[in-house]
Amino acid sequence: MALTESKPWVRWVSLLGFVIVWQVLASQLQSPDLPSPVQVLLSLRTHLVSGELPYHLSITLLRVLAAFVIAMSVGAAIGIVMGNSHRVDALFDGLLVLGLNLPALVTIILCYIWFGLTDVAAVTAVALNKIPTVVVTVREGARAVDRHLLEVATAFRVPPLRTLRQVYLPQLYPYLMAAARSGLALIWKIVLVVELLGRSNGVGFQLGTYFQFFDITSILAYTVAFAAVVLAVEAILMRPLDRRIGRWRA
Amino acid sequence: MIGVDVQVRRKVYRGSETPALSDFRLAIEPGQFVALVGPSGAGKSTLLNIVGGLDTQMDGAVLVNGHPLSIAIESGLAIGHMFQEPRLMPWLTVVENLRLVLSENDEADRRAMDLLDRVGLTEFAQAYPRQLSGGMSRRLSLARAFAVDPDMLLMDEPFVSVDAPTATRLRGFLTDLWVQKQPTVLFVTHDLREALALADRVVFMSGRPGRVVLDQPVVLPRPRDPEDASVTALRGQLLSRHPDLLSGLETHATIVTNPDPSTEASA
Repeated sequence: MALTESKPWVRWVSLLGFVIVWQVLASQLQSPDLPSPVQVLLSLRTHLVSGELPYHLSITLLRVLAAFVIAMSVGAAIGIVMGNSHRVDALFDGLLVLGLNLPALVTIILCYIWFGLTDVAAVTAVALNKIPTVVVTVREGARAVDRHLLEVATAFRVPPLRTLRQVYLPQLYPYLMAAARSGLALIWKIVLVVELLGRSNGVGFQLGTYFQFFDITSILAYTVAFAAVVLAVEAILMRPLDRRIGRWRA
Repeated sequence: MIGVDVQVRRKVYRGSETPALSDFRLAIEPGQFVALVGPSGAGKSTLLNIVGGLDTQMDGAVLVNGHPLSIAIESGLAIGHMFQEPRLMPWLTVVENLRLVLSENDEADRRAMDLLDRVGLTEFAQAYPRQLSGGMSRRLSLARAFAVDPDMLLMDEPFVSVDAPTATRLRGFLTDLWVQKQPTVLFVTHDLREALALADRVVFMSGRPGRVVLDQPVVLPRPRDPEDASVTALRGQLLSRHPDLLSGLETHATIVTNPDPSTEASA
């Protein structure tokens, strides 16, 4: 995370290099299995103009958002409790290990079977996959909380809500940020699988459709749109948040 | 004003065999300034944590004006606690660190700035603690302890590692506050001169497990300074009468006169 301090254009160098290699490779191979970046961009424009891509992308983003909010709040709450109590930690540790290692596909299938082919089932399945990793990260943070600083809050009778916001949570922020980052990464991936398996809209559903037609250009166009969103979220949300939280270290 | 009666029959930390405190008894008069002197490991910080309500895992009781400490705290007893380390929130600015302990009202900002002025940190109000020197952090920590208008002030070697002129000024600040508001003070120090210059009463503790070995009233006129002749004289008198008072307390605790026969079993 300290690397974000370097010049803003540096992070684009590797991405640009990747696109150049892709272009060169595609023009050499001239194969329908590897369309060039230019072809993909043209396809992307078509899908954008038709309104089809914005529709499916926004549906996927809503599912990502719902799963993310649920996973972060439930996971953080469980993580804080487990990090503070040895007894609760011992009680739920086995379940946590099971949750961490349960294949995503199993949760997805079971959710669809038990809750039907609905958005509730889809979002639940994604959140269930993410919660255990949030718990593990936040638990680590809760264990590392400085008891001496909490004693200050107790000694001066700082009201509970203020203690939470100004004494406790600032110590958890780095861990919450780490959980949020890895959380988004995982959720992006699983949401598409969930859509592929049991929804009739969203980017995952579209990718499945284009796969059946072997329309690789469209698949890559959707991928590019998706990647752009991911990079935008990182640049517009995560990094400014990082800077704000880490201001006192500067 | 509040009087405090501390009785710790036994305080043992988990995983430790020797108690930190044992048969400790100290009754502080309302508004009295008590200095606590003793070797490292005598349980002085432990005692402050107990009196401050931070540590309740012990066999004993703390009574504030005759009521249990927890009840006194619930009914609004204000305690100013200055820990051995400054313990500032690194993510809050200097002024935010004070605002943290002040109640939320229009006065809070003005009061925080006023306190910063008194400890000479006005121009650092918007700085973060990592930009402060060690002495400045202690001054902020002192201002925070005063911020709550304490009925009881607990101080754990507050002026250690502060340069001499600053320490003198902070001692003056502390004495002023004490004269104005008459909080009951429990002040831990290694420095006998400082103890004699500040306190009404100096209580000497034995090595681990800590107990009271000598209870010395100080009736010198105020204001006093650690370098005053009267302070030096009293210090010399005490040390000649009890040569082990500062150096050998750990091993020769029983030699020092003490009306409590229970301490004779120690060493």
